[in-house]
Amino acid sequence: MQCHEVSQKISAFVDEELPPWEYREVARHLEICSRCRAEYRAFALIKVVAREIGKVTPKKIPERGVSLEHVMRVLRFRKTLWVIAILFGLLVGIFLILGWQRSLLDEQILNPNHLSAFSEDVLTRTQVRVETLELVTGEY
Amino acid sequence: MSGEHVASVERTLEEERLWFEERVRECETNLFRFAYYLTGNAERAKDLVQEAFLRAFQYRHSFDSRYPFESWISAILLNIYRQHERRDRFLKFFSALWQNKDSEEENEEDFMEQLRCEGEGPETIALRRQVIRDVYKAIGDLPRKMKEVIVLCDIMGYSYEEASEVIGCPIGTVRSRLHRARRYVKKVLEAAYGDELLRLWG
Ligand SMILES: [Zn+2]
Repeated sequence: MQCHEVSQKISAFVDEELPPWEYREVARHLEICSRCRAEYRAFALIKVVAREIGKVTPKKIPERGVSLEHVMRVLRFRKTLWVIAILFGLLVGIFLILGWQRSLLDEQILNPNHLSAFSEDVLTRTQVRVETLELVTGEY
Repeated sequence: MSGEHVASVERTLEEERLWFEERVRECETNLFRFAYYLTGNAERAKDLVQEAFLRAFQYRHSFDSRYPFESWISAILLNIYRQHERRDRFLKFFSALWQNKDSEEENEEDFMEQLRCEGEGPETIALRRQVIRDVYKAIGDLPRKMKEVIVLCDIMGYSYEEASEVIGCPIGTVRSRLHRARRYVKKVLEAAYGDELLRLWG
C-alpha cells in the first residue's frame, strides 16, 4: 500500500473500522513508514482528547426523571409567550401606523395652501350656515 | 395479525406514556450529553432534549423495536438541532447581536470548570487542559455535518454503524466525514503546538 492510500485509511484504522485485510496492510505500512506513523499518532491523539471531552458533563444537568406532562407544560408556556410577543408587536405596529397617519394629517393642516383652502371652506360654510339660520328664522 | 400487534393497539395512553418514560429514563443522560456537545450550551441542550421527547412521543408509533431506542430518539434530536441551526442562521442574518461573544465565553468557562485533568506536574496538566479546550473549540467551529460525526463517534464513543443510524447516512459517509473532521482538528492543533503535542500524550 502507498502512503496516499494509507493516509486515507488512517482515521478508520484508529477506530478499527477497516476490513481485516486492509487493517493488516495499513499496520504493516505503519511499521516501515515514519511519516504515516506520525499521522496515525496525531489522529489517535485527537480521538483520546475527544474522549476526554466526553467525560465532561455540564453542571446544569436537568433533574432526573422526565415527565412528559412537565415537558408539555414548558412547551405550552413558551408558545403562550410567543403569542403574547406577536400580539404586542402587532399592537406597536398599529400605533406606529396611526401615529404616521396623524402626522400626515397635521402636516396637511399646517400647510399654508391647505390652511387657506380650509379657511375659505370654513368661510363659505359659515355663510351657508347664516343663510340657513335666516331661512329657518323666516327672514327670507 | 400477530398477537403482539393487537396488544400494542390495546395499550392505553397511560400505559404508553409509562412505557415511553421508562425508555427515556434509560438514555436521557446520553441524550443530554449529545445535545450539550452539539450546542455547547446547557440551556439550549435542555431545550433540545425536551423538544425531542415531545416529538418522539408524538411519533412513538413509528419506532421500530428492532433498532435501539437511543439511536431513534437521538436521530429525532439531531433533526430538531438542524432545524434550530437553520433558524438561527436566518436570525443571525438579520441581527449581528444574536448569540454574542460573551455567552460563548461563558459556555467555555462552564465547560472548563467541569474538566478534570490528570498528569505529572502542574505544567503538564495546564497544557493538557489547554489542548482539550482547543480541540473542543475546533470541534465547535466545524461545519455542521462534520461536527455531527465527530461528536457521535469521538466524544460519545459511538461505532460507525450506530452513528450512521443516528445521522441517517451510509457507514462510508460516516467514515469519510470523520476523517475530514479529524484532519481539520489536526491542522488546528499543529498550527498551535507543532511537534510538542505528541510528547504530551505519548
Ligand atoms: Zn507512508
